[in-house]
Amino acid sequence: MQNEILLVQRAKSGDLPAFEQLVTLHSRRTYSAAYRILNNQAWAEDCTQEVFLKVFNKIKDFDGKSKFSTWLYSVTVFTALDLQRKQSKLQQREGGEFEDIHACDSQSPQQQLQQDKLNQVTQRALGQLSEELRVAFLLRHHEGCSIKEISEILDVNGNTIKNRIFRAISQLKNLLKSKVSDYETVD
Amino acid sequence: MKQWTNEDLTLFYYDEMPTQQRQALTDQMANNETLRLEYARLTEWLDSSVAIELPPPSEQLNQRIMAGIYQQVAQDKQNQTTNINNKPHRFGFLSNGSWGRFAGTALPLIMVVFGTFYLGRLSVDVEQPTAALLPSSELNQNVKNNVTSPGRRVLLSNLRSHLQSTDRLFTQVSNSGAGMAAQIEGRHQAINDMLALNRIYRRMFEANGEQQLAEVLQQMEQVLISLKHTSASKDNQEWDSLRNRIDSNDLLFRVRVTNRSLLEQSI
Repeated sequence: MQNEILLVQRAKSGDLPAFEQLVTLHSRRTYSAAYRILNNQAWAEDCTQEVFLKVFNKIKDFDGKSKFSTWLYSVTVFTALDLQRKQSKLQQREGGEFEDIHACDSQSPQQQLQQDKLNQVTQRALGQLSEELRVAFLLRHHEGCSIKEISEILDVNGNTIKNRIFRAISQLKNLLKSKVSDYETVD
Repeated sequence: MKQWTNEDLTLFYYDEMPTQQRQALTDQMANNETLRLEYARLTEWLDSSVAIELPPPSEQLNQRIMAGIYQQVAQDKQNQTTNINNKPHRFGFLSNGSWGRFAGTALPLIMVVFGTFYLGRLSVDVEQPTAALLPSSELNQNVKNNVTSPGRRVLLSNLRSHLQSTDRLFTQVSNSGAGMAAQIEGRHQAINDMLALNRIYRRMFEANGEQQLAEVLQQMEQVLISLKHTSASKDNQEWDSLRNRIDSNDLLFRVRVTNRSLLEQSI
């Protein structure tokens, strides 16, 4: 932790090797958060690159009030959401070109089975949640951020975050119940 | 007795419950099988059903991130140099493109006016000065060259000082004895900086299509990377191989020749 503070300070004064160490320390977590939102490896990698470029350009403004990782998550979430909106606009414009990436309820259960089985079913269910529920849930459940951290990342009250997580779980239960029963019927 | 809700169980699962409440719930679960079962169901569902497999990122992700950053740093540096060159000064109008356009149109006009005046007065042929005979495009080109060359000169002079310090370092390594490892260990920060700078220059010259220069910088970069990863514990054999790399590629010679040719260019 102390080491990270030092690295951030050095990076703030333009020390590129220090920034490189921050990249090494955090790129995996950044990629993971981006992937959870975008559900696509290439986009998640692009997003990670964009995030670090943004962070590099704005690191001088980082006041150190929150943890560096919290700030990084915040940049990651908003960049990933932004990218996702752009991608879905593109998807709408280009028709079904990216159809395999998100929910495809039109597919037959047989095809569904051939794909990434339960993993994809879960991803699809997550994709059906609203953006705010999904992000709160992903950060808590998959990224292991505390509710306090998530409230800092998203700049939203802690109780609101709790509610979002509860609603996400409840909706996911319903969505997955039907999906899993479809899956089991086919199996 | 408190009725525990699903929300409470969720907070318990995520370890987000205040300590007192947490203790109370733990106690109650010990005595209440229904509650225990409900919690087990929730745990199982959250642990297995909502799990998503995460494909690992490509191995070059970090390199790609840093490449993007180095590229931006190089671009910023270039912009800075351009800004310094374009900084307005008292005679700023003389050093930009508008002067060229102004001179291109105004000079011939002035010459024509004066020429006509003298022709009319003396009724003899007057030879116009050569400057006025310069076509405006040529004039513009001269101005343009003057504008771009200072930026280039600054860049080359910075590169030369980088080459000189790298030359000194490589010479030390090449002639080093037993104590070199400890010396290098003490200069890691300087080597890191050199490496960062070297990368910036290499990318810049690669982007400019100056392959010969980029190639020398590439060779220097490889040695700098090896030096960056050296430690006092490195054995003699590894040091010998590092020295051989400098000597066998004539790297020192190439660095010096490049430096000299840059000096000539900047003069």
